Parts: sequence; structure tokens; C-alpha cells
Amino acid sequence: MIGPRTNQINIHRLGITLQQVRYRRQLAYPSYTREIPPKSHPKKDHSSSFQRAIKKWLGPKSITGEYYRNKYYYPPQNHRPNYIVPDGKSVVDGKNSFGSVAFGAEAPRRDATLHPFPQNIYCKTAHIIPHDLKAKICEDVNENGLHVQEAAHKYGVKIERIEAILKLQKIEQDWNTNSEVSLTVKQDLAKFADVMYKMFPLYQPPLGADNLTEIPTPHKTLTQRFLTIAESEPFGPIDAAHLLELPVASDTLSKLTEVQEAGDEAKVKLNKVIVGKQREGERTAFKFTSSKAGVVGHRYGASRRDTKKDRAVAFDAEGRMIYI
Amino acid sequence: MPRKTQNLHSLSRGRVRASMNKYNLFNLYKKSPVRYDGKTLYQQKWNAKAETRAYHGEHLTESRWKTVFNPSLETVAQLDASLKGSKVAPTPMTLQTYASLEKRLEYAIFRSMFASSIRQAREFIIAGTVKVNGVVIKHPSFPLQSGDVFSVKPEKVLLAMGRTKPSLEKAIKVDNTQIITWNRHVKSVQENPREAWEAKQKKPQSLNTLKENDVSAEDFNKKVEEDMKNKQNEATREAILTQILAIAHNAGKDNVSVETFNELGAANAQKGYTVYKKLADAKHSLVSDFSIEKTSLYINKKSDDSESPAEKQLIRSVKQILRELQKSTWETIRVEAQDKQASDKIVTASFTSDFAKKLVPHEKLDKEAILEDESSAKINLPWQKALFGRADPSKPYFTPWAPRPFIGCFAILPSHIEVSFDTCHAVYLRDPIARPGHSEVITPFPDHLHERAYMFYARKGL
Repeated sequence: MIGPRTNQINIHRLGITLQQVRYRRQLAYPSYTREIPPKSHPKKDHSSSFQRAIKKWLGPKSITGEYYRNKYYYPPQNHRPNYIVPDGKSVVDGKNSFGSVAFGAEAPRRDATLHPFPQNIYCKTAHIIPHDLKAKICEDVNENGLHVQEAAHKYGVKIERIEAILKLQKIEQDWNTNSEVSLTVKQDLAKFADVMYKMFPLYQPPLGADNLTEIPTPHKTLTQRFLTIAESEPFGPIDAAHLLELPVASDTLSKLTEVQEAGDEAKVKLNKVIVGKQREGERTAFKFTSSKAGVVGHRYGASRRDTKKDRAVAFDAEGRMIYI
Repeated sequence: MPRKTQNLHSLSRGRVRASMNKYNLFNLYKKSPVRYDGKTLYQQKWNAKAETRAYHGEHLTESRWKTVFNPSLETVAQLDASLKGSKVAPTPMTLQTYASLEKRLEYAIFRSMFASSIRQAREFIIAGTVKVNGVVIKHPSFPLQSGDVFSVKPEKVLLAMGRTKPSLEKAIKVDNTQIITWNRHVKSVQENPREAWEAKQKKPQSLNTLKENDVSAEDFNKKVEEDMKNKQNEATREAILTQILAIAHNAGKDNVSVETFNELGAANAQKGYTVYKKLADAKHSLVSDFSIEKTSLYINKKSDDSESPAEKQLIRSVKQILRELQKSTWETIRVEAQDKQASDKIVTASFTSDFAKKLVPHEKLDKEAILEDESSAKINLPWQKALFGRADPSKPYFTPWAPRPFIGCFAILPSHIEVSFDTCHAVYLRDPIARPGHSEVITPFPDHLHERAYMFYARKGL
């Protein structure tokens, strides 16, 4: 016989089995330690374990609010970045200066002075170009008449970067005469620039030099292509290029080293215009320009962009967004 | 409009954001590696996209992001790969999943370190403080193209990358605490200077890289040695001869005696006089015209037949004396440097009673008066001459400017942007690409996580 008490238990049990757990949030506990710092007072301290963990991680705080014993608090100023190593030893207190990194929390072969993130070794900080090298590049191009491409080869820096350096150097020269920015801001800015400059590794060619033979990966090489050939038949990169209908790498390489002058003529597009003859007594002169339906007016039957979610936008000369 | 959100930097949630916040740094620090065991493929993809989207375009709604997403991944091939001979590293193609976001103006500003988070970069843009090619752009999604120059108002950059400017009340509170501590220190030093000195010597070295630390004895000695070498290099025979002739010239032709050359040192005066006398007696042209070029020409000239035996004899004897002079000058410089080095060692290691005399206690600040008129605050602490962080209260940032906390962990120089910190200008070089062993898209997540996130969005597969 089933009593009321046992019945209750059954319903209760039933309730548990029926409850469907779809999502259980896992709290993000630190990977490097299992120890949670104890509360400062059993009843009065209401801080969570995470709050206590970060307090321990930050270390002691000075009167001016600096975590003065935390090794990541101050920026490195010796051109050697100091990125995090998740070993649980962020505070320099003279006791335990070495900790252990949890398995998988840091990628193997990771260099904490180059890779900013412990788990991604494909992300690296770039090298900053020293002031004197920048001045030398600008002098070579502006005064010694070196072509940008030659300067790129000489210093191992990509062409776009050389052009950017030249542009920025011009802005820096005009900066001192710029009256929009006050002198005190300029002084603070100089300090900011100095701190930032000393934080990044210096570019010391050939170490950290750009690869100047890079080309966008041809799309035809991204997919597999099968070809049956005899075992004795030689097959090399040139044959592969012919098969994929791509230019041979060695030819492209030699082309890259030649100085190329950007022709402005090629960019000018001629549009055919027919001007009608204005006869005597006619008030209008006709001019016929060839255009494409859709570019001018609407093409009959075409869908309208303004009904689409990813409506095409552009910006006019004054920086306003317009729909196209 | 950005996506609404609450508690971005929740420690229990532990998501990594594109921000330089210290809570975010702790979240990154304590991040556990993602685990796939026991999960279905869809669960893996879902988790991967949740993790990565929290960092990449967190402020965009999912539907907006899906229109921005571009499934074609931009990579480069290196043509000299086969020439190098070594094995080429794999190209992390899937790290390009979120590359289409990087061309947005807000991202470029955050990547160039002109703003401390993506959301702050958006604020700067919307406020009209950002220019692209000299034109104010107010759209955070503005797509940058190769060669575009963009700039942010310097005050905003200093605000974003500097410490937080304290309120007036906070600054007074901090300074009063500093003054109390300082006065206690002064009192203890004056009561017991030796003990305080020893405690100061034992103090662990400061981690502050921006503070100008006292020069250590070792560095000082190194500098002295360097100076010595430079001085010795400068003391060439030509230089000494020019000096001798200049001394004689200044003294006047008729007043030259051994004493005139006391500048060279008591032992060298006689030698200097002899050199001058020999040249003057021979009525050499150098006596009146003694430029360094002329003297060096005279000393380094090879003897030939055009010279008379008397001239040859003169040159030989002058050179001989100059060589002796040079040797003794070098010795003097060396001895001077050695004395300096030794004296420095004594100074840094010993205790002087002057140390306590220099310290003066500071008056406490009148909070009410300063709240009425901020300029009435007079502060003269050895390390601070104005209210804490408010040297120039008209500025929106901490003055004198100091870098924001933990800036070093987030400072990553982008490869696809060339930044000029001196002018707060930057040039967008190109869209970020992936090459063997390197991805220009800055992301904290490993390639396998991005691979799954890519699979989530590119539904038709890689």
C-alpha cells in the first residue's frame, strides 16, 4: 500500500527526472590555481571568490592607486614587451617568483616578448621602426632620389609601409607649426609617444624584415586538382603553374624586383561622347554620352537595393553616408 | 547603434573582450583552454562562435555581423618559399574569419592604440573627433582602404591611453594621505636617521619603469669610462698642436714663456713651449694660421724630396714631442676618470647626515578652501608639485600625463597599420592577411577555435 509520504517522494523524484537541463553555465575559474583566497572576515566580508581572486592577482595598492608590486602594471620601457604568462605569479613579492602554467593555457613555443596572447602563437606584435631608420628612409627617397621600391628592397620594408612613413613624416613636420593643438597637449603627447615607442620591439633588419615576394594566394591553388601522370614523368612547380593557368613563380619574382612606374594614363577612362550639330534656329544642342542602364536610372526589372538588408552604402566627399 | 549589454567584464562569465580594462586582463589571464571532448560538432561550433564573437564585434548584433562576414579568407603566398629550402610554416587561414571587421574605422582606431576599447573608439568617432584623409567621419563602420590616413584628436588619445583623472575631492583625499605618510616618514628619519637610511637601502627595487631611478654605481662607472675613452680619442696630436699654437697666439707673440703653457699641466708646459719655440724660430706659416685642418695636414704629411733637411728635422722633432704630450694627456684623463669612479662608490655605499636635513614636513591641505578655489592648493612634495593628477585641471586627462594601468599587456603594434604616436595619425596599409606562421588579425584565440567559428558562419563548409 502506498502511503501519502511515499507518494510525495515519488512526485519529487519524478520532478527531477522530468526537469530537462539544457544549459548549465560553468563559471570561469582561473586555470592556473585551485586555491581561492579566504575571506577577510567570515561574516562581514561579502566578496565573491572571483573578487578575492582578482584582488590577490592585482597585489597591494599604493596610496595613489598603483598596483606597485604587480609586474604587468607599469609599461615595459626597454623595447622588450612584457606580455602575460598565466602562471599565477603576477605579484613580485620575493617569495614565489615562478609558477606553473596549467596544461593548455599557454601554447608550446610561445615567446612572451613577442606573442601577446598565451594561446595564439600566430598573433605577433609588429616591430617599430627606429626614429633614425625612418629619417634615413625619408632622406633616401626625398633627397637622394631613391625609388620607393628600391628603398623597400634596401630596408626590407613593404612598399605600402615606406609610403606610409613618408606620409606620416610630412604630417610630423607640419605638426610643430600646427596651432590647433596647444603647447601643453603637445608636451603630454611627446611623453605619450615616447612611452609607446619604448614599449615595442625595434626593427633591426634583417630580423623582422618583411617578405617582399608575397602575392595574394591565387584562388585556383586553394582547391585540390587531380592529374594522372606517368611515374617516370617529371612534374615540378613550372608544370603545376601551366596546369593551373597561372604565371610561373620565378617570372613573377623577377617582375617584382623590377622598378615599376605607376602609369597614370591607364587609369583615365575615355568615354565616347557624340555632340550633335546645332542647326540654325534650334534652341538646344544635343550631347550623347554612352552609359549603362542601372548606372544611370533603373534597369527595367532589376531588384531595388533599398529593400535589401545589406544595402550598399558609400561616403561622399564630406564624409556623409549615402545609399547607392 | 551598438548592441545593448550588461557587465561586459564579468569575472564569473570570463569572456575576453577587445578592451584594455584590468578586469578584462584578468579574464584573459585566467582563461582556460577550450575543451571539445564530449561535445557534438554543433556544440563545438556554437561554443567557438560564442567565445570568438565576444571579442570580435561584440557590439554588433548577430544579424548585422552575418552581413559583414565574408567567407573568402585572404591569404598570401610567398614566392621565395621554395628557394629557402626550409619547411614552410602552415598558414593560419581560419584566423581570417573576422578579418572583415578590421577594415572598419572603429577597429583601426582601437588597433592603433588611440582608444582603449572598441566601444570607446565608437564614441570618439560619433563625437566627431576622428578624421579620415582630413574629413570628419562620424560613422564607426566607415570602411578604410589601403593608403587612408586617419587621425584622432590628441586630447582624446591622451584620455584613452592615460590614467583616469581623479575628481577634485579624490585628489585632495589622496594628497592628504600622502602628506600624512610623508610627515610620519620625515619624523622617523629625523629621530633616527641611520635606521631610516638602512631601511631605505634594503627596500626592494621599484618596478616602476617610468621613474628615473637613482643611477647605480655600476652604470655611473660605465659612463665615466665611456667619457674617458671619448676624451682620449679627441686628444690627437693635431688637436694638441692646435691647442699649443692657440695658447701662444692668445698670449701675444712677445709674451710667450714656459708659464704660458701651464694649461697643459705643469709637467707638459716645458714641452709645449719647446714645440712653439721650434716652429716660431723656423718662422713656420702654422704659427699665425693654426686651423685644425692645417695642423693635421702638417703632421700627417709624408716626407718627400721637396723638403730641405732642416724642415725634415723640424717635423721629426715636433712629432716626437707631440707624441710624448699625447701620452701624458691620456694618462691624465685616465687618472681623472679613475678618481671619479672611486669617489662614486664611496658616496653610494655610505651614510651621510645631510640625508635627514633635506627633508621638510608638509602642511596639511585645507579641503574646504581647495573645493572653493582649486588654484589655492599649494603642494610641494619631493615627487609632486601639484594636486594629484590635476596639474592642469582644464585638461580632460590625468596631468602630468601617465600611461594607463596594464597598458603593456594590451599594446600590440599592428602589422597592417603604420602608426605615428607623435601626431596621433595613422595610415591604414592594407586589409590584414594571413601568411605562413603569422596572422595579421589580432585575436587571443587559437586557430582551432577560429576554425570552428568559421564553420559555424560559412555553412557550406571550408
